[in-house]
Amino acid sequence: MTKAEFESAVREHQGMVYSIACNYFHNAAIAEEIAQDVFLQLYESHLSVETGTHCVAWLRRSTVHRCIDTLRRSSFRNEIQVDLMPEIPVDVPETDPFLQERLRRLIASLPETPRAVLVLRFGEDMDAEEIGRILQMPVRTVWSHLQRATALIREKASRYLKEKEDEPVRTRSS
Amino acid sequence: MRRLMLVGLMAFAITASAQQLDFKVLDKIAGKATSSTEMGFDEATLKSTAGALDKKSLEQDLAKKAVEGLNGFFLRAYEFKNGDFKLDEIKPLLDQLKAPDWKPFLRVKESNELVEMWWHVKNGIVDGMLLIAAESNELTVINAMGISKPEDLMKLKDFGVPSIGAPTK
Amino acid sequence: MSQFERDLRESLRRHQPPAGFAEQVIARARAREKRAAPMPLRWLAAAALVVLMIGGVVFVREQRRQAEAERNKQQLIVALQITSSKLNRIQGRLSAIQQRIDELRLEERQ
Repeated sequence: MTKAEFESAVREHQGMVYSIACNYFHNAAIAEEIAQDVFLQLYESHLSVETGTHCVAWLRRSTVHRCIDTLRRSSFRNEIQVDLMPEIPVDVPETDPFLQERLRRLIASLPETPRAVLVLRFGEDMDAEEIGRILQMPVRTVWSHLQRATALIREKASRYLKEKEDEPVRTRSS
Repeated sequence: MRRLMLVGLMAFAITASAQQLDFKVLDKIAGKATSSTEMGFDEATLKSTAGALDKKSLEQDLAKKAVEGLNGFFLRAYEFKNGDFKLDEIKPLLDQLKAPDWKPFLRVKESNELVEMWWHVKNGIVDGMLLIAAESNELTVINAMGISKPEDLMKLKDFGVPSIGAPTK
Repeated sequence: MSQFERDLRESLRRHQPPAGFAEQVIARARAREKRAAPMPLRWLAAAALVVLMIGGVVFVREQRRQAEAERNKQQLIVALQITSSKLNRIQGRLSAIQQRIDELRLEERQ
């Protein structure tokens, strides 16, 4: 990879790398540090990048692995106090900032692997096969993590989620 | 696999009194590093080096401005394999900061990271800055002698950060 | 796509890193490259040896002085790049401290 290619890769993919780390930790300072380390690792790997897709795949894999390693090494853990989440009014707009924040915190409280699966699935729009390749696990394991993690998040955020289609319609008896 | 690199040999002898800190306590840590950068400029060398910088080169011109007013600059930066370096190994260095002429400015310690900044004060006047940034696989220690005001620190901070101007074709 | 999935995607949307991030990374990479580039030093040492062999002692002395001056310049620039990079990394913490100092001063005046 030439210097120009490296600099171009940094400018083009800084958002992606930073976002994966930020969504993983819900912490901008840690995300920035991890993102810097990933790009420096790219630089020092003297990676021969054949295509843009190859570079993206390498960066995603590197970022996720570094996130998981950091979480494992660190004594830092997010503690989600569900009861301390702010109360929100009953009528909320479609894009509910409190809900978004609640979801981010809940995602950042998951164990390392389900957290990575959720971030890659919903943040990077990757399919189960691609996620399996990055995390080096079978596709069925990816699906299993996805199902369990989304069920857990949904249960914890259930007070704030509006999924009318699942709620039974109640009628007053006359 | 990182190559073993040893660059920036100290090409001159520095007497202990010329430095505000004794860096020899870091020699043991240096021995374990996979990558090592050690540089030292006493007052005379810093002035002659700064004098030789070419104003026509933007980078060298900025360097000249960044070191203006400094009378010593010492840097030690090491990288380690995971697990080879522990934060408490810099205790001999931190013990030197118990001397009354060192005043803490910033001290942050998280699980595997330590950042400390100290002022060196002589006769009630700030005349130096020390930065220690340590993580599990990296240690950087920088002593800039002659810093006396925040603007001096800002010149060092802003060196190498390009201003963002209008895009050019 | 259910509303829940939409909410998850929205909460995990892309964020931009802080301004200057790309420049910091590139500066760090350049600093590492300079640390790993002994080639000019070996080249200069080889040239000095050849001249010694044909007896140009005074000339060699001058060459060494110039080489050392050039090396010092490059080392100084690398040292400044490393320093700048480290100070920028802790900038957020410095800003927070400055803000707190300003708040305390304001409280004292009131």
